Amino acid sequence: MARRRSPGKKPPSRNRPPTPRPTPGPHTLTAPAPNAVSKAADLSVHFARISKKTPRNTALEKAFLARKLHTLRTHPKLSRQQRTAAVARFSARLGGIVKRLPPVPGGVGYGMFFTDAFKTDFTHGTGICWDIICPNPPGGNVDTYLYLTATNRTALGVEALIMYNGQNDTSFRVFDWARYPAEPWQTNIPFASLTSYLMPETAHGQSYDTLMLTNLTFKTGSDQWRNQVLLWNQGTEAWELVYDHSYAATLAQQTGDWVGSWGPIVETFQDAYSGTERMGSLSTQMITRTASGWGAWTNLSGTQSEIRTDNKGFDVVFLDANHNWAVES
Amino acid sequence: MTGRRARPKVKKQAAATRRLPDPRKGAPMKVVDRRAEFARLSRLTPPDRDAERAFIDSKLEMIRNDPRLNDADKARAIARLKARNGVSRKDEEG
Repeated sequence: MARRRSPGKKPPSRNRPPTPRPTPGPHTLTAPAPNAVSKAADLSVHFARISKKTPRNTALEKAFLARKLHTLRTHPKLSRQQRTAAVARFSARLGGIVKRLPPVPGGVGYGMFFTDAFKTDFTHGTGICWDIICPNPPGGNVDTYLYLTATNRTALGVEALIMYNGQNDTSFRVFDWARYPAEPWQTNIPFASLTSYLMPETAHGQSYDTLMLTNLTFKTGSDQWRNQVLLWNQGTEAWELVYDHSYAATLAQQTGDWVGSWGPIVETFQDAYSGTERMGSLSTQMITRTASGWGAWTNLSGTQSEIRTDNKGFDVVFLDANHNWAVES
Repeated sequence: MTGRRARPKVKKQAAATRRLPDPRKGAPMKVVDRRAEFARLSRLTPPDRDAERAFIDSKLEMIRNDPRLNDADKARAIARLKARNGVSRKDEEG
């Protein structure tokens, strides 16, 4: 950077003459090398002048600060108290700009992703049954969308999910990947209408409101598949079929995509969460269908799935690898 | 979903699910058909285009942040999701 050009040499041809370069005076610095002193040319004024000519990109600058704040809010090595203190200190330094920082969108607050081997380990059908710990309202700082969702491993299966939109708009939805993009949204039931489907479940000494659902995808003929969603009605003590769709697809289409790679997850839409109620999954079970029929339901294990967390502020309350878990922020 | 119910019909399951065990007990699963009721209730709620767009945007972000994927895998998954145009299109491609 401080290399000199020989005085007699012609400057490189450019349309615009380069910024006149000052003659740097000798500047003595403490050298980083041990027991030595080195000389450096002082070009700080020159660089400052060039920098002033470059137009500011305020969006980029805000994104830089937002990312730093996000890193602090979600730092995996800090306790919640340490994160809160660090965020408060950093926010105080930033001043009013904090309120204008953009959120960091998309992510996984916590949850399970299927291993590659397990994701594709079916030929005629697969299903997931899980009891969604779904508080209502979600509490804390949730002020936009937040999903409690899962797939059953198939790329063209459904996501039957609890969708929060802030504190006062909670619904049960079905998104059918086999019908995307034409008409994927197939079910939209306000949470208030699900009373008889909610049931209390106890885990690790605590009672939770849960919604038990089964999400199936299975072959019904040559290259014919069916998606089904069933809810357990605690009031009538019966399984109820609430969604069903048949379509043409191949096994390769069902197994060869990123869609279908997640089990129960908390899908996030804010850069960091705090104060939310406990959410999660109890008794997550998987089932596989082969040519000879359905197998047995078995708990989702640590060899079939791995945990993903994007450090959005959620802390694990308990984990029984990997079929029972709850998080809070 | 709450209050009195009409007598629910027990749906005859398709052959593929006839032997599906109940995840609660292991016995064969008995199913009541509530599809019509859920479809009717769903129609009462107008579609929320912002929410629908956010769903796919979030999936794209999940791919970008997926620690198990390398850059090439991410690019492939994103391209596939963006290009995906329903089963009929996939059938044509497949």
